[in-house]
Parts: sequence; C-alpha cells; structure tokens
Amino acid sequence: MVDAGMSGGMRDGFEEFVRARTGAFARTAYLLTGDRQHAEELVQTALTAAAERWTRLDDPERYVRRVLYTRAVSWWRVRRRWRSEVLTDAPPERRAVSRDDPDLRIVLADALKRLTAKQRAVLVLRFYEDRSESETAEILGVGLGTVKSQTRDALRRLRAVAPELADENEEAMR
Amino acid sequence: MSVLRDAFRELAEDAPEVRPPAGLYAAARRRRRERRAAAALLALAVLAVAVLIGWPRPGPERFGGDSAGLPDHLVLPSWDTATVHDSPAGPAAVAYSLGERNVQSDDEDFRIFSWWRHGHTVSSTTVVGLHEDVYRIARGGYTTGVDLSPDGRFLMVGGEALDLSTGRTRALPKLTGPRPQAGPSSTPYYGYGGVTTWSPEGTRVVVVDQSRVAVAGWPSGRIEWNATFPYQNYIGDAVIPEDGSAVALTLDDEIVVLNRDGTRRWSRSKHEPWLVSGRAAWRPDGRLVGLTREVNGPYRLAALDGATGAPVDIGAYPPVSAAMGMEVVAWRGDVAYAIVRHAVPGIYTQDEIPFPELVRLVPGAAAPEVVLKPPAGTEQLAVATVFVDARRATGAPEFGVNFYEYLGRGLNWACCPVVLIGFLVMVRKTVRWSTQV
Repeated sequence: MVDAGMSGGMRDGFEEFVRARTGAFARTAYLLTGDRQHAEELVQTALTAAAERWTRLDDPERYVRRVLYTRAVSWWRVRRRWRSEVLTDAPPERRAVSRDDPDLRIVLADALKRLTAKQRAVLVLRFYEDRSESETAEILGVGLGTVKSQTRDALRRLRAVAPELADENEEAMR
Repeated sequence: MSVLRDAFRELAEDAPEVRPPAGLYAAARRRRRERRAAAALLALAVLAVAVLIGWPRPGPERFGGDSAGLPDHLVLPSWDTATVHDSPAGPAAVAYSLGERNVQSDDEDFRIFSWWRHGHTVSSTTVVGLHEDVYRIARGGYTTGVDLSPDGRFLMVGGEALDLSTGRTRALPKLTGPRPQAGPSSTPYYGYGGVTTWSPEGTRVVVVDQSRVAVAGWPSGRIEWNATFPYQNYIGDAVIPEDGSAVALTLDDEIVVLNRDGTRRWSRSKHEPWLVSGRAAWRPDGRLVGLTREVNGPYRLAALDGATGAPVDIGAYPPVSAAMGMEVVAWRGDVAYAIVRHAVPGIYTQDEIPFPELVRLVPGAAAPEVVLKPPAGTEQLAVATVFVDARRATGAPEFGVNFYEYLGRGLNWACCPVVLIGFLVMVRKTVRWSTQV
C-alpha cells in the first residue's frame, strides 16, 4: 500500500509537471526543429525519457531541456528531417522586410533552416532562453570554445541570409 | 529587446500544441522495466555463452607429448568438439564411431537441420590423439568409417585419405583398365564392392573394385602393380603382405589369392569354413591367418600357407565367444591383436549391434585379454596398429571449440520463436479474415 501510494504520488507529480511545462517545451522544440510534427515527437520523446527516470530526477526541467537539445542535434533526427527538407546553397527568395515587419518570424524561420542543428541549438539557447555561454556549453555537453565558435558561425550565416537581423548580430558578435 | 530575440519569441508562438498521450507515465515506466529485464537476460545469455565456450578457460592439462601410444581409456566427445578439418590435432591413436549417434552426425532425412556443416554425413567418426588426449570429429562421405592408417596419420574418408595432421585430403591411387562391366553404370569408383586399405605396416595401400586391383606405395602413391580379374558382385575384404606381392580377396563365396599379374594363385570356398579378416592377416612368415568357426561356436585363429593355400599349424589361441566378427590388426611375435565385435542388443531395437574391443590373443591363454574398451554404444573401432602395444597416460580430454556448431545451433534455436510468432500471426489473421467474411 505504501509503495502504491508513493507510486501514485510520483505519477501525479509527473502529470502536474507535464501540464505546467509542455507548452514551453513545445516552443523550444519547434525552434530547434523548425517543423511542427518533429517538434511534437521531440517533446514526447523527452517527456517519456523523464517519466522513465522520474523517481531519480532532482531537476526535471533541466533534464527535459537537456534531452530536447541533445536529441535535436543527434545525427539520426537530423537525418530524418533532411529527408523531408531539400536544402540548397542559395538563400530562399522572399520579399524584403524591415525591422518592424510583422513577418520577421518568417524570415527567421527561413534563416534557421540554413543553419546546422548545432548552430540552431546554440542560437536558441543564447537568444531565446537567454542562457549564458557556460550554461549553453553545459546543456549541450560541449566546451565553452565550441559554443563561442558555433555562435559566431551561426550569426555570420544569419547575417548572410537575413540581413534584417544584422544589428543584433553585430552586438552579439562583439 | 533585440530583433533576434523578438523574432525568436514570435516564431515560438507558431509551436504546436503538444498533448502527451494518457498513461504516458505508466507506459514509460513499464517500458523501462521491460528494457532492464531484457538487458539482464541478454547479459545472462552472453555470460552463459562465454561459460559454454570456455572463455576465459585455462588450457586443459595434457599428458604425454613425448611418447606415442594408446590411451588408457576413451570418453565421449562433447557436442561442440572441433573437427579435423577446422582444427587438426595430429595423428590419431584411436578412431571410433557410435554410428548415427556419434556427435555432429547429420539426420539422414532432414539435412536442413544441420545446414552449417559441409556435406551429408549420417555417421561421423571421433579420433583421439596419438600423443595426448585431443579429441576431434572427422566427417566425410555418407558414413565416415574408421579405416585408420597403421601410423594413425590418415583416415580413409569418402574414397580419399584424410590427413589428420593437416585436415586436408589426399587422393588414393587410381585404378587403371576398363571399369567394371557387369555392375550398374552408376557404381561409384570406390563404391559398393570396393575396398581400400593399408598393408600391415602402412607402407602400401591396396585399392580394389569389382574387377580391378591396384597396389601402391604409401604415402608416395606410386603404383607398383595393377591387375584385373573377372567381375565380382561383392568384395568383402582385401589383405596384402607387407611386400605387396599378392592380394587375398574375400569374395561372395570364396577366398582368392591373386598374383601381381592378376592370375589366381589359389582359392578356397568360404563354406569350409574359413575367413580372412584383418589388415595383419598376412604374416611376414608367409602364413595367411584367418578365422574358423563351428556352427554357433566361438571364433578361433587358423592359418593357411599363403603360397599354396594348404592349412598350416598356428598354435592354440584362445577362443573368442559371442562375437559377430574379428579382425587381426597387428602381431607382436606370436601375440595377435584383434578387434573383436561382440554382439549386444541394440539400444532402439532388439537387433544385435556389434560392440568392438581391442583384444590381445596370446597362444595358450584361456581367454582373450581386453586391451582397449571404447565408450558404450560404440559400433566401430580402429587403432593405430603400429602403436598397438604402447600405452600412454590419459589426461583431461581436450575437445577444442567448434564455432560453427554454436553458430548453427544458435541460429536454429533463434528461428524457433520467429517461426512460432509467424505461425501465430498467420493463425490470427486467418481467424480475423474468417470472422469478417
């Protein structure tokens, strides 16, 4: 009875966590993958992994985010996405937008598709979640130097394909 | 707020609404338990296989090495014993076979069950090392047989000589002259009615079919003489003296001695009764030793003059009772060594099967002395007759490892659940289809 009660309490805790945080995880997953279906799969994968280890997790939020980022850059997920996306060297044709243009998100979405999965993850962590370089390095499991170089390369690429974001890029580069 | 941050936040609003499935927690926990159980089972299986194949296993203690001889006793090999082909272990002291129950024998009707083995051998042979207790399995031909060369290096297998030191086969001398005419056209070269064997010391080999005979040096294989003789339906045994100057053949109803030119030196009816039997039947002193037997009586050694066929004295050797047959395989002075095949009831039927033993027959003794007794169930036995009076210590048997047996049997067993699951799926589909219709 005690075990059953403990198990029920754990399950309730997990379900409360899912209700509260799934929306935030979905937004991050969508930014990481750029695809609604892949984002949904990624969130479910991360939540399933968390459920499996729920009784031993000290910081479930941190664990789920780590799973989101590491799975998003794993080679087989990237490969799956590539099968449904045709990437070209030339930037996609689009109409010109300004900093105040409400379609800036479309520009960013197109630009993110031009980045590698790791570059994309670095940008999401740094500019969406406002993580520091050291936090980003810890979550992705890479060195600080790697985070710096990935950020620099990603912003350079963004500047090339989406000049509208150039000002911010310049600040970040500095 | 920067443009990039604004853009990220705007873009994030396009994220899908994710609704985790009901029961996600319970399903995930259950999957985790199943994975852990599967991992534990896999670890156990790996451990079991490692233990089975003997890794890490210290090398078995071996005995002898410097001296060659017959072992004190024989054991049954394990199912995963290495083969002569894959892991040759040198000359053999003993070759024995339990017939179709010898390990690594194929099923007579269901060859597919042992798909990983070469050929189709329904009765394999076990060979035991001359210097140490190394056991190996020899396979070849439909039944492998135990025709071991006197020095223990070669085993006649499927019309070839299998070199037990290398695992390779050597061709036997070819017969010359027209092929037998009266037999069925499909009669194999060394098939029914044919005999191949060595001279008493193993320096010559004789090859006989239904109308031709060839004697060659061994292991050179150089033909010394060929001869032809009238077609015979059955060749039971062939014996040559050590100098290879003639051959004694046991035919359907007579014993015939042929000269090098194929002419008959003499012959006797088998009904007399008298029987040539065994590689060493033709003694160096010219006497041709055979067996006599009263009706339902014991076998006794007797002798004929090899030159004329006239009976000659050989002395009083002990009678051999309750035997189905006997082959004289070696001489040490007047002491004869023979393989005696005792008649014992069959395991599966009441038919009698031969149980062979190596015995020593001393003139004047009351009974034969058993020299070597093979494991129970043995149907055929041969020894390296050059070493028939030499014994070596017996140690822990070394069987080697037959990787292919593990692989083949493992895959066979692994296929069982797959076949079962496939069958159940098929049944389920059939039932669904029938209920829908």
